[in-house]
Amino acid sequence: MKNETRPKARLSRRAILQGAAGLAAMSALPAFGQSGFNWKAASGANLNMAMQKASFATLLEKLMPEFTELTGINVQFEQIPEQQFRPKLVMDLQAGSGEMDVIYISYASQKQLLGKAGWLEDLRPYISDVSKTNADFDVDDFSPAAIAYATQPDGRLDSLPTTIHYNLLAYNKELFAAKNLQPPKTFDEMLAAAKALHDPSNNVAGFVMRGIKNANTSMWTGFMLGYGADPIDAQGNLNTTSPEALEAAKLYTALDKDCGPAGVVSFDWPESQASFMQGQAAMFIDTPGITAACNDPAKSKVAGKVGYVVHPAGPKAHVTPMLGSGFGINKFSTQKDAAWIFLQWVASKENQVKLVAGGAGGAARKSAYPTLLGMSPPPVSPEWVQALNDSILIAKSCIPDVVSANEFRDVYGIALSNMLTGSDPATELASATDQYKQILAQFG
Amino acid sequence: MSLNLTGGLHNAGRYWLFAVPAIVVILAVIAFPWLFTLYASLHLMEPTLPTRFVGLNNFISLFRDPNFGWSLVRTIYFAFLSVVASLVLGVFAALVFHRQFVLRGWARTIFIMPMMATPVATSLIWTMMFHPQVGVLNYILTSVGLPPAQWVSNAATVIPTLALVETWHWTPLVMLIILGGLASLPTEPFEAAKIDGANAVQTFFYVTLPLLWPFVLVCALLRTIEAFKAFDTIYVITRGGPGDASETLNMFLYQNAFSYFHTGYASAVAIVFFLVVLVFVVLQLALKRSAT
Repeated sequence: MKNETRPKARLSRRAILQGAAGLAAMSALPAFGQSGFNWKAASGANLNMAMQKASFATLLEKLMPEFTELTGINVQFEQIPEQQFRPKLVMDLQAGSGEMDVIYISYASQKQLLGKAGWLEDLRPYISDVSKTNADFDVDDFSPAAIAYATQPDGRLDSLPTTIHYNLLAYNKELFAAKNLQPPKTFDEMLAAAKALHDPSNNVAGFVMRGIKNANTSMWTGFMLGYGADPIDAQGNLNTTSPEALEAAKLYTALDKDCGPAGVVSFDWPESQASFMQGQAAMFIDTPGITAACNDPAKSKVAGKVGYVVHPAGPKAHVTPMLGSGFGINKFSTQKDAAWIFLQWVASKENQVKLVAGGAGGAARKSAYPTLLGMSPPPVSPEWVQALNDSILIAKSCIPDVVSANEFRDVYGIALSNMLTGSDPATELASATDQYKQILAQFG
Repeated sequence: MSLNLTGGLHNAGRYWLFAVPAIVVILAVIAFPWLFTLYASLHLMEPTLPTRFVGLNNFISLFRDPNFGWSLVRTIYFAFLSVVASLVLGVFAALVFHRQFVLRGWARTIFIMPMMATPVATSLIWTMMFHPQVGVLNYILTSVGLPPAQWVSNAATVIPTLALVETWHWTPLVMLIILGGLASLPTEPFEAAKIDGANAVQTFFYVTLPLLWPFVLVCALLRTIEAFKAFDTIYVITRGGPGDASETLNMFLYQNAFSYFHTGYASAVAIVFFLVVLVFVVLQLALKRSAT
């Protein structure tokens, strides 16, 4: 494999202790740092913000009183369903509205759109200003992949990454043990296990992942990275009819169509998750927040029987496909300094630990994982945390960095859905590429 | 106090002031959005590009876009199925509920319940019922020895399945209108038919239906407009899928406006969509006029 020399991020006892000590030291910090930074500098300010509904948003809403107590800043916080939140955000910003001071951005669908329009403040001057930034902020603690993901093509860092969605493989240990199988490490092993475990007569599918258009695209591009190709190369050329793209599409259909549950073409993550949690699928690839819930006894019939491993390696590369989100400051806001204080708090080491401990997603900060693995009793499945930690150094964005990211997801999503209902992968990819090529040329 | 007629006539010139609030509201909520949509349809309006006038380019691109053509075909297919099914079932239900039977009032109340429910909430329930693995519909089918159906997971069955939900939701409205029509029909033609020895089927086709026809056409008109505008049911249950098999005009419009932010192009879709609905409405009104 091409990247066999990549360092493997196994956690040492020392790293765990250092992380835990760091966290303990951070919570003991006074309101004034050595730099003159003051958490109460914008006390009395009122910030407005909204987030799409997600477990992370629910967690933040619970933590908000802590922020107000620390800073004296009040936050009007609203949770809006994803399908309504994204259009509202763009329409507000397009109208030059400063209503939302803090902006929650999903990198896979909005990074380039917001970046190109210049609606978010560049955070680099804030980070380098010692009077505005907590001495413990430690920008180097963010994983290089997360910072690269948040950085715009012109070099501006206009958001702080907080939630990194590394795709993980969850598997049903009981079903694997019954067939004497080991959790897969490669695409070939994953497909072989899916075939061995596929048992439609007993209503058990060998595999399940998103089949509905748009949501399914990141599954296919995730596989494509393992075959050694990006969907769009560095020169902006589409790789979507390449042999690698075709192999990835064949793997996608072999898993989700040939070994997937009936009707998987209409499955988004909730249906896929439900299928796995009902014990009706042996393996499930999805993001951390979604796979974590599979071990929750209140929600899942297979709780306690779920194992987690890092996204399996392809024949050319071992890459964990990632999506992610973060927070930025609205250019039209009149309370930018208060918003920056919020950003530091929301992306703090302490809150990153709480994010992962709550099973709400993967952290962008490296220190979160050793801290969590050092906790006793573990607040969340150590296997899940270890799989996330192992993903940090091999993670790569799986949706191209283009303004028309949503159209990319829809056009290829329809092609993938058609493959699940029997269409030929090569024909579908060629047709989708013809269509998307024009969109890419027109809108970027 | 005496009435000053001269003063009254003198004030007539100022009466229009009382209409100003209504005129302002109409201009703000009806005229402005329409004029802005027309303006946007003639411009390239993108979040990351400067807005510029492009004439009829958006309309030309639209008619060259195969996705638009297919979405129009799907919309007509969906509207045809859901309008015809709700009319047939609604007329049948009205005939049943027109008769006297025990607990008729309760039965009528239960029958109109789907119409009173929120479409988004009921669509979420239907989504769970259509689930191929854990849905109750497939459980019922397999319990009686039938193979499980794909419902909304199959490109061939998704539009009929969505039309089924729409029919379930709106048949009560048709039933209510037709029931009102039946109550207003004269009794003499029915008595004459009975004397002439017409059976129930003959009475229905040769007496009841012709007399009810204006009511049926009103229902068809209302239902056609609603079926073309259907969005919530499709959005919640399939989001236009599988693939794009249930992407109707409204879904196509929504995607372009609120997912891709092609405001100019989406405005052109809105205008063409309005004209399509207008054509169908005019056709039905002409049919109604000729029938009456």
